[in-house]
Amino acid sequence: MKNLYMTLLTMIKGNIMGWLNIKKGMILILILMLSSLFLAQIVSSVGVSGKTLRVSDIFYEPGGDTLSYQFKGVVVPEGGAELTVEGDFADWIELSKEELLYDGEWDFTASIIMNGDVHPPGGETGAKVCVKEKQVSGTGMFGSVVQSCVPFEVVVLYDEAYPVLTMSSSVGVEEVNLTLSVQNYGKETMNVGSGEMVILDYLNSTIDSIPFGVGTVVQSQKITSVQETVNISNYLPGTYPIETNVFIDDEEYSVQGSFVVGKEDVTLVSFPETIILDGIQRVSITAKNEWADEANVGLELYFGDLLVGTSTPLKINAFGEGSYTIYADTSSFSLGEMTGKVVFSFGDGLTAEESVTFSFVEDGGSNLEENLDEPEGMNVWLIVGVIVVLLILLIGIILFIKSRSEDEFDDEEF
Amino acid sequence: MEEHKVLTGMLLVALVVSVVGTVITVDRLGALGGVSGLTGAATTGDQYGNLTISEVVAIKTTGDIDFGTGEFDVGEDYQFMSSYAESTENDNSENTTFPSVESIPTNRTKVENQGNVGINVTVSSTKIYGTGGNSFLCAGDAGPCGLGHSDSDPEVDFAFIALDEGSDSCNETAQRTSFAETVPYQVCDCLTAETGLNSMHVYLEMGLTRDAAGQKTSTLTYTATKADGSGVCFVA
Repeated sequence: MKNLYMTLLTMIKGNIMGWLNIKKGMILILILMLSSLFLAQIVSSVGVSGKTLRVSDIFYEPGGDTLSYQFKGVVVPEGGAELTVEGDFADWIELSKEELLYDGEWDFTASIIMNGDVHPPGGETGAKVCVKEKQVSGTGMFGSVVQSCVPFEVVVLYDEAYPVLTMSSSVGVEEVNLTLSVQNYGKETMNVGSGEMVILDYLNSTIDSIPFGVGTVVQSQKITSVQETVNISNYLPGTYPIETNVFIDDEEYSVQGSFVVGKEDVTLVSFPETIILDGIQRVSITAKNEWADEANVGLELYFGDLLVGTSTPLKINAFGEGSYTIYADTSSFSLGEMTGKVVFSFGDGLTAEESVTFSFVEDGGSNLEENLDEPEGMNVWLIVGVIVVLLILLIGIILFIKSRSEDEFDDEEF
Repeated sequence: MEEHKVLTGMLLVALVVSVVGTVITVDRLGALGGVSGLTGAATTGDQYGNLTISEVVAIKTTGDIDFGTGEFDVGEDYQFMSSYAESTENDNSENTTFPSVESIPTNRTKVENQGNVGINVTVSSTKIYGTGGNSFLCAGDAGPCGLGHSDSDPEVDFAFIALDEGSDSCNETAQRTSFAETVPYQVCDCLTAETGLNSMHVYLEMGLTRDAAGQKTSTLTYTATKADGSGVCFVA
């Protein structure tokens, strides 16, 4: 490489065309440009693609059929990638390959083997199938390796019936639906009988009780659900715990949940602690809709009593958050602590006001921001390489044209 | 003859533009990482289209942190080192000949989501904090190491700091985490795949003592998996 640069220097100093013709020069220049790419910063990259990259809701049934999943390696590095399986369930996942070669076929299969001699214990388990870069990059204090993984979330069926209960609730203004789901993680069928949903207040006192009767037979791996509707129009805003008891195969099980009664209100979630005092500045504000229905929420920002910015209404989902960006003119303020307010407008002429305290600060030119904005080494090297090549070529062109002119002049003299 | 010279010059200029354009294009395409998440298949007979968009989880790291080389100044025996300029009052060069924190050759690793779904990113280290046998500071050290610091002394920490690049790239970023074990620690629960917002930075910090001589090394493994749920990040 050193010789190459020396050669190029000689080319510039001497008569370039007398030493080398244009074609050879271009080859050298191309080599120089390509080498500048390879001298760039260390980059590690690897990936995996497939129909789904989080394989969940899989039931392992001892003696059952093998389940196979197709994947493909993405951006396999020159050193190749190894395929690995990690986790408690790793022994029951079989890969079609051990590695992916840079210039080879990148498809592979991961199979869940259920008909082996040894089976995993019952319950929820899992493993990760990973495409891992083979070579450690970096030559100094720290090396790095990247890997992209596909989690497998598996339920190994229990020998007997095994109910798994979950409680969920919908969002509503006047009514909410409470849903009890019962899934059978066992090999045997089970009978879901009667039960009740008890609504509690924040002191855990019973507010309401909703009895239900199911009488459903649930097969292995299957799920059944019970849904009850509660009128909440007389409920105060807040979170209400639910405790549900149900008899399954004559044994009582219980599960907890909750639902939220909303309030037609908007609250401030975040406001910057400092704002740079320098002309027009961006102010990011986050608000939360406390109502159980979507709302169009407008915003006004005041520094002191001076209105410095407004936002057109933003549609925020029920109990969701919305982000606003206000461009406020800071030129009429001075450094130091400042109070202000954020006024939200929503619903049918409703407003909510939140006071804010922040500080106007000088533009310190944060090192972090500077660091973040600087281009990556790859691009810097590329640009430097291109500029060097352009300069060399321009000098070459000038020398070439000049030498031809002198030749013609000599010919004419001759 | 004059015309020939002009033509030659124009040819060379065209050649330069062509080569430079090709290199830049290749570079830009390289940034895509060869990710091809769209696959399609048309069925026969029923005359309807079938399009499947494959999920892609892909991670790219750029730049391995390099504190450079150095030694302790005479009479000094401890130095807190950081690659993040704003995290510490100390300067790496205060008691040593190491480069100052502002002039570290490479001060961070950029972690980029190259796929089409939000990813959970973790990092694990082959070495841990403290002064034990597998510590970053003292592993492989034959003689005394740690200058009286206990294994859990925060002064002999080995930790990482994860930060959004700009803002809005990570749903919940880990702030500062010590490598207490060789297990994976979360860098980001959901790093978005949205172009322009899909990267973040990892910085390293550690305490060094005079008696821990020799080259200190550790391999950091960055792991990407599809984020929980649908893989869509709700970045604040």
